[in-house]
Amino acid sequence: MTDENIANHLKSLKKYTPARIGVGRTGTRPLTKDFLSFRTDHAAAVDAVYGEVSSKLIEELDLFSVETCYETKDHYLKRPDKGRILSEEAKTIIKEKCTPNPQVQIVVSDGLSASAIDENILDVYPALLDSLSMYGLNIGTPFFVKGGRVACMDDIGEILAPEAFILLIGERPGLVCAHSLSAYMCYQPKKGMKESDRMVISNIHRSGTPAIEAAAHMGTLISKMLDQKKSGVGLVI
Amino acid sequence: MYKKTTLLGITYEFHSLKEIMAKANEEKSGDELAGISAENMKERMAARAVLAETTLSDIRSYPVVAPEKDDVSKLIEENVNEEIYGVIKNWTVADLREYILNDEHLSKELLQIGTGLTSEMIAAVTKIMSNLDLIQAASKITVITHCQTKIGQKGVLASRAQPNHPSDHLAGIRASLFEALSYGIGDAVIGINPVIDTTDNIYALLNETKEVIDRFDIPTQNCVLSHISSQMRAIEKGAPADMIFQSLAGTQTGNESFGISISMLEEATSLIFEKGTAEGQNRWYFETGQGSELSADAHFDVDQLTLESRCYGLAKHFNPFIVNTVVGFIGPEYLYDSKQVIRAGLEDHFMGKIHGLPMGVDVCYTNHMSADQNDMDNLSTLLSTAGVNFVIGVPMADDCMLNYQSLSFHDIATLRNVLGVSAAPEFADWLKKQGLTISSGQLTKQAGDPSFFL
Amino acid sequence: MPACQIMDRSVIYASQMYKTPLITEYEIDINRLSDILAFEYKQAGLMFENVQAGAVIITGETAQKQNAQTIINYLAERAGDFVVATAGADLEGILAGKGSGAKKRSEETEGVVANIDIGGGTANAALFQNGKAIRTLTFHVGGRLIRLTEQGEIKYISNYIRPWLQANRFDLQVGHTVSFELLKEVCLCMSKSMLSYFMDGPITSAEKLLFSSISSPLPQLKEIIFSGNIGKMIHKKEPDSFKEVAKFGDIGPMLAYTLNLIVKESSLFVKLAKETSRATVIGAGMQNTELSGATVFVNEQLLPLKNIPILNVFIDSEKWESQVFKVEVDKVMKQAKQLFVEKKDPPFALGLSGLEYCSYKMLQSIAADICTPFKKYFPYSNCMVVICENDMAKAMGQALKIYSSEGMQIMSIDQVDFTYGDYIDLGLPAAGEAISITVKTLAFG
Repeated sequence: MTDENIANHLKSLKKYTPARIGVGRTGTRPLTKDFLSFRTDHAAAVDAVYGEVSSKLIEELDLFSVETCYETKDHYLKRPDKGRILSEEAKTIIKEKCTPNPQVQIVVSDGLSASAIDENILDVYPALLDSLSMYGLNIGTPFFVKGGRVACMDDIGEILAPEAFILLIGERPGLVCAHSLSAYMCYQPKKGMKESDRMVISNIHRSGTPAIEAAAHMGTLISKMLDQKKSGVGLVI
Repeated sequence: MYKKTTLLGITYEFHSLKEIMAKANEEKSGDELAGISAENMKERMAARAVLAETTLSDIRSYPVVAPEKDDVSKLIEENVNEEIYGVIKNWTVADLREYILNDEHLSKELLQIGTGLTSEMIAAVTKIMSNLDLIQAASKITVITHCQTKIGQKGVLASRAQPNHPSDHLAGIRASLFEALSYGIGDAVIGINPVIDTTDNIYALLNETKEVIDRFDIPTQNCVLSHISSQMRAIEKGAPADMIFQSLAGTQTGNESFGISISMLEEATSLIFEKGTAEGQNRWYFETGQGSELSADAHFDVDQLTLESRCYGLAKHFNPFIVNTVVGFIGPEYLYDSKQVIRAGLEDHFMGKIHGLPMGVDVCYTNHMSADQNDMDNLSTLLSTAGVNFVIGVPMADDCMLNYQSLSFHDIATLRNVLGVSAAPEFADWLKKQGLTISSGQLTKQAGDPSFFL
Repeated sequence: MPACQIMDRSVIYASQMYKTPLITEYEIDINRLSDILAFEYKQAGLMFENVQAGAVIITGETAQKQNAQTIINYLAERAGDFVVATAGADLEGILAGKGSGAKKRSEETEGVVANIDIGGGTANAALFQNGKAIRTLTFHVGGRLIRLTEQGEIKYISNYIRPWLQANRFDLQVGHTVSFELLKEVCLCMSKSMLSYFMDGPITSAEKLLFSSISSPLPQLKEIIFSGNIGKMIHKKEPDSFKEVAKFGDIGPMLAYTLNLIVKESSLFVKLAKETSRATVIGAGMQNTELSGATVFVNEQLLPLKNIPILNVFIDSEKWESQVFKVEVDKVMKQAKQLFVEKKDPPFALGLSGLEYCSYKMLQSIAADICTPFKKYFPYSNCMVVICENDMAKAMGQALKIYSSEGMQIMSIDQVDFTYGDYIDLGLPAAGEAISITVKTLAFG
């Protein structure tokens, strides 16, 4: 095969997969460019885990911010249980600032990827508000939780007792995408609820699940939860 | 069991074997999360001192999970070679360590001793071994298994090609597979983790891998790593599978959370011997990993190392072709950083080998762990010197479906080159015939280019 | 969003094949056709009323508006929800490629997969890549273009291939007897000519076999599949006498053999067709029922909506500019107003192709830019239909709802490949929110 032929074949193979193929080698080692690009993507993923959501962004969305019991990032990673409960201070602030018993409570959290919020929230959040208002639902006071895990929705549920809950949270970053967002939803969150009662739309990012479509669909799911008074596998969609 | 010891002027009390075993472990975030680890380094050493003096018969007398309530315990108990056990039951764990490391005792002796040990005894001795102890001991043991081809020979470092794709796109999977083969990767197995666990999809993936194997006459075996029941349905329908796969846990409750039971594994064994496409006697592929029992809340306050060892006790019963510990996949709440992952990798490999298992390791990490590719360079080198049967290769170490990092095809080629080990014999011959390697195993100019197979 | 897929399609009954019953050369004999239908329904153990939906695809020389009208009138009185379409060569080729498995194969393999459906008079080729039809072309190549007796006497030569015969200096005359060798040579040359388009470019005046000329060379092929009656015979052994060649009174068997011969000598890889003679019919069945994306914005009470003409605007996400889009969409609406009956509601369906990524801001702007001209050109319309190529229909629907006038019904669906269609039917919900879709080229609107 000529070099040009090989190049064309490589191109055609690469088209079918996001995997890092056709990278070539020097000796048994990868070429410098590919080696560095791999390490760069890992760096982005690590920074997404250890990074913080832009405070300007939180302000722009008009959210206030509270924390779980995670203490430090290292502790957060070692002790997922700590990210599931709010600090005492957080509980006080939430009680003070939020409308209790809303139809729908929205919470945003960094989770395992701060950049997931930075990259997607400006598409997801306003589209979600549109969608909920289209279904004529009243929305509680939204806020941001730092150091949250998915099940922090249960702890918040105990305080605010919303009918339905939406948690927009950063997913564990991968190298292909370090800023993928998930939306977890459930009916009447409370302590000890079953994982199978939560519903999720995952993989929300620029080349994954489209943010606006995910948000539009959240409204549908929430309205069905309210109609059927349940969530999870039992919900008829 | 109650034990007391005084170390550096402080007296430590332990109220059960389970407690001693847990506290004797190297530091692991998973044991901390479970709330069973030692308070500090001195307590850890006290537990080890006590454990070293514990006899093997004591360990057998105080089961960490009762066999009446747990079928994994029961199976391990039943599989002890009583003749061997009778000879060694009064040994302490320290005696066992020294027997294993004695240079007069080679593969045959160690494998023989292994048959008289329970998985808990193997876990116990592992806790009082250093990293280099684990390498030395494992490197003496040779476990050769036979599916379509044979792997595990001395001087062989085999590999699994893992050409996963985020939507199981067949052409995408093939593209990554061609890349793997072009680096000499894929002699242990061509194994795909599917996204879609339907019978039709498993069928298609098995077919596809088999088609590539047949087209290029590759001496290897195929496998699709879905839940056992969907593989069984696909095989019933006539899908060509050399092996059948399942993830294992070290307790019955853990296995139930995976949706499996020992009787299901036995059913699958009959099926793969009846309808499988391989000729050898080893037709299982098992995966394990420290921490999975805790994550399923099925750990009964037993430490993750001991539970991992029990997975091997279960695996052994089914004479697998390959067993793989996915050491760094589970996350920082179980293995926090590279130090813990490296330790766990060496522990699992040794424990598997002395169980008599064809042990491989997925040298890997996730992005929320405190580890990077340099740590994988280190661990893969250590394991290769310890004689690991196989490791896992993905394009540029980045699995675009499972979102974690393992070894690059380059890395495996490098390990073979640096340590003077080779691909499995039949596969090595095939590579030579294809013109991808020369006699020494060194890659030719054609190697490393997936379009070679177009 | 997770897509809905049709998991299984199965053929429960296949009839025998009939020659089209004709009154004149081009007009279908509906009485004889209805006898055939009645007989075959009985054979299948079905009553007309058991069939919920169906497709009539009229291909080849009888593909005319008048025939379509006759058939729909007949079926409308007796059976359910039938779509009648005259396919046209392009769609025929695509349908055959779906039925033969070429489309599916292209999703699995690297490179382009071609399907050539060869029947009596034409060879309809469609090229597929990643599950999409990328090119179609049609040749005057078929079994019945030259008819002959078992003694080798030529009974008919189609006018369509005379120029090609002439260019290649084949002297064939009706009424004359041809030698076996010459006939083989003609078939070999015809095969080589047609297939040259799929290999290194046209030779032996191949362009004279084309229905209409092509503007650019075809992309490099990886695999080829033959369907149709000739495709069915492709792996048969060489016919060694006139008796075998002319068993159907034409050159079909010899043509099939020579096609295989040419391909075998080339670097092309021949794949077996899943269906041969019935590829187009099976493909039509598949075309008839596709599913929209899993999340859509529709008012189910208005469904089904039939025969909506589609006009498309392509949007490149990377280069999107509100001003450019505004001009473009205004132009399309103006065109729609001129082309289609304004009073029909919905007047047309706006296709939005491209747009691989859409931010919230873009969505708002696009929705506003659609609603303004729609109101201007279709002031009396109460229903707007939008079809998005990519996964965004529900968000688009909600945004359009905000920007449209009070009471406007919005129907927004997505993940439909409408590139090769002029009309769309929006069917009933089939799986969750996903609705069944038919994209078609209609004989009448």
